[in-house]
Amino acid sequence: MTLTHFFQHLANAVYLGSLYALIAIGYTMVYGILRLINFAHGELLIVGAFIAYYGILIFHLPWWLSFIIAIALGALVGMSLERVAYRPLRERGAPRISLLVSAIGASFFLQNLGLVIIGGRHKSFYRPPFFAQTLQLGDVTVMNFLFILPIITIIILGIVFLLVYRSKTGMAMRALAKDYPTARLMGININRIIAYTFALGSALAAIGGIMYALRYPAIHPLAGVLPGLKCFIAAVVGGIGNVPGAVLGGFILGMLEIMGIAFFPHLAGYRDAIAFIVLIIILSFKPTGLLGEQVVEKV
Amino acid sequence: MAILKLDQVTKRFGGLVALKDFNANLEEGEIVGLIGPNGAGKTTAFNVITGVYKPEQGRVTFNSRDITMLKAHPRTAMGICRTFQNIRLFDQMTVLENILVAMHIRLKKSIFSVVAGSPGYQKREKEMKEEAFELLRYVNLDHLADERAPNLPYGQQRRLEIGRALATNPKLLLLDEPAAGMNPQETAELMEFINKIQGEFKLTIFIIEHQMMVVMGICKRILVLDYGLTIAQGTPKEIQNNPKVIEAYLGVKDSA
Amino acid sequence: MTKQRKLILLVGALIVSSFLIYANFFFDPYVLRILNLIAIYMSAALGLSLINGFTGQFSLGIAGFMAVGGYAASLLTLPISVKESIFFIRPLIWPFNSLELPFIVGILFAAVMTAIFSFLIGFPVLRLRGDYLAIATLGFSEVIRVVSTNTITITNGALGLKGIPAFTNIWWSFGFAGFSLFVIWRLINSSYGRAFKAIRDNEMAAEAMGIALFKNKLLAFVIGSTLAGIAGALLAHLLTAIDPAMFRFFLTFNVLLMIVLGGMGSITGAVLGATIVTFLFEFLRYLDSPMEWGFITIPGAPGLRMVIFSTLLIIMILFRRQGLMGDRELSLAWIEKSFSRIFHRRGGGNGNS
Repeated sequence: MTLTHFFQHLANAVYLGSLYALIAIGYTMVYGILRLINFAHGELLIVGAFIAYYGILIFHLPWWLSFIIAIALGALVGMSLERVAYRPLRERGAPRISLLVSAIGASFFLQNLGLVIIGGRHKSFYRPPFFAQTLQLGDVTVMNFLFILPIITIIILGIVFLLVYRSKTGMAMRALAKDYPTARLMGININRIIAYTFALGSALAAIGGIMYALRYPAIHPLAGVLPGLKCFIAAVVGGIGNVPGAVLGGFILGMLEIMGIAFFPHLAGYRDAIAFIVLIIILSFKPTGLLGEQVVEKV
Repeated sequence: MAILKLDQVTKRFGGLVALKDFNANLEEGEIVGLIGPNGAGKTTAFNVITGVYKPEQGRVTFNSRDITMLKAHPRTAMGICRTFQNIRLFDQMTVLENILVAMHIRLKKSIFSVVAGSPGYQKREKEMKEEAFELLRYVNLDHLADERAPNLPYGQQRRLEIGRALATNPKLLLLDEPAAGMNPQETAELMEFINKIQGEFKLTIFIIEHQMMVVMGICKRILVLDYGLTIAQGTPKEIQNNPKVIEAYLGVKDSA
Repeated sequence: MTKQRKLILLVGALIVSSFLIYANFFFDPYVLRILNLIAIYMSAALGLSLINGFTGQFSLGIAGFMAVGGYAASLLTLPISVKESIFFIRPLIWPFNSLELPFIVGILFAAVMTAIFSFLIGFPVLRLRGDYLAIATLGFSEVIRVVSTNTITITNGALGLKGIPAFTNIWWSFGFAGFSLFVIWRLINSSYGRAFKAIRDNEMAAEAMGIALFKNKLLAFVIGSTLAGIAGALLAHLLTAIDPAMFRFFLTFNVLLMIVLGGMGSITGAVLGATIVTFLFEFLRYLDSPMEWGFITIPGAPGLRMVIFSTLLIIMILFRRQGLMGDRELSLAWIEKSFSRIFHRRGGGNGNS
């Protein structure tokens, strides 16, 4: 491998890492509060990507407006999902596994609804010139968005930190994640906070979906399954419920996936298995993830 | 001879020291009380004895065997069993099944012979059921054998939990607040019941209890914990008059 | 067992087997195929029910084990000539390339291989709980699929195996469903079954009562996965072609739907769920393909069937979480009771009703 190749791969790895990180944050926030693997999170990615796609294609909106609308609608879809599929169970005090089953159902529902409405053929996502321009750095040629995404991730990370650690709602979110009954007793409106968390997480998913589509422009309704799962794994590897952990996990997975294949090209077919193998190794040695806290069960 | 011996046991949770340099010696056939304010480390001590937690320091010896690092289930096989502060029955199972679960440890039949329905297993199953019924009669729950455990009133659930623990054939029984939530009459019955099972099953009993009537009534010896430290031990009478204990329960007396 | 119960069992067995004999000779192949599928999914659902329902270890890896079973059996039973023709990219490795064994050997091999795989996978994952366990088993299932796509010299990669002899018939599929039913029934009503259920109900209390958590979880996991693996072998020899894409999470979803619908923790529920879901799945097939009603042609909507199925799953979990059966069973005692009620009503005279 030449140095040029190495840097090319590195740029790709950083891109994929920040993409995973972005999506994993949404996962970790929802899990932190609801203790629920939102299986449908991967579908929210694709919802975002398709709204952006149709906004440009059918409504001829400028790409940035279409993106913003996609993010807003993505948040709305996430909130509705919570309202319909999760809240009723939560209010009836259903066991967590029931919520998981409901989430799996929601995931399949969105996938197949997409198939019915959109069809299974790949659609080619529009790359705005601003993102598609190439940049020449010595011998390395990269497209603009390869730089833009990590920057966006950092900005969003900053915003999320401000929201979670500096705002009143954020404080309520953290209280809820720590101790559900006490938070309720303290007069926190649980439904509102959870809806807010879902909106935020889903908006991040929509952003991630758009970024994913910019990188891999052939989109179709089932395209969110695998990145969705991988980002969940990223969140678990980093320590679920922990925002910096999600970022760390996202980068680890992104790096391993790109660099692993770059160094061992004959393993390219196993690319989609890497995340799962990492998951299994991490969970065997540190069941709460790299930055996760240990939970002691009260006897 | 001491059946259970805890030697300088320390258990921490993060920065919190739940139990510090805890020593205890239980002689065979004794009923010993463990008291102290909430959060004093009483249940932690039980968890260390039963293997739910492993201590950072110290040694737990049972029947002169070091069990400090042993898992929980082999300890049950050795003869340590417990009840829980917040009742933990098997909620989707009947009263009889709750007892039978506790006998599984003594089944000693392979899963193949069980599925094939070998005569040996069928005989064993019949014996287990008979033994379980006998035990249910003993704890006066036999008329409820086919009832689901959560349908029982609170006091009977407590009794079932003790019955279930007895089904493991324990030598040492740990009771975690058995009288919690009971009225004076139920409490009196419980005290009698504990004394009865101690004698008939030749048990050593270690009991955590907040109701002083129980502890003072049935324990020959009492240990007092506060903030993870043993602040006193002795007979009920000694404990009642110990200024440190009074202080722990009532707060520091204002000497002004 | 009382005489009466023996009689009921005998009559039940007679009814079922005479129905199957009739079906085997008079039903058309399409209906027979559906019956076969129902029986195969029944076994898989019973396996998953043992793990998820009775032992409370929420596993999402059943598709992976069905794949292991399907491939393992097919590799032994595929005729050598077929093996030579389908492995045209790279040849099949020894010893499979020179083997052509009877179905029963294939099935036993499938059982052994899934037992080994589930043991090796269960070892790390069963230390996890709840949703962590779910995601890790799903992960392993996906890894099995990815590996089977890549180990071309064993699995023929994405092309899959074709020309598998159609050995599965009504006797095999229902015979095995009956066997699974028997094993699970015996197990659940035994001391081991009580230990499994105790782990589900309260892990900490179970351990305090001396139940070895890990060992019993592993036991349930291996038995349930092995049943699913044999179901996979039967499936391969019914469809005569398998490829890795068949064993996506989609397959796990279907089996999960069966046990959620029927009621996790009920054997009757798993049987009922498998029957209903398999039947509906075939019945609703027309939704996914174009239809012609006289002059009107309705274009098919691939995916519509799954929209209905996922909605069904959500509705079930929202409004009837315990499934159709909950953890109740259609038991002999229940049959006896209903029968005696009928007889008493008819007989009049001796009752004071």
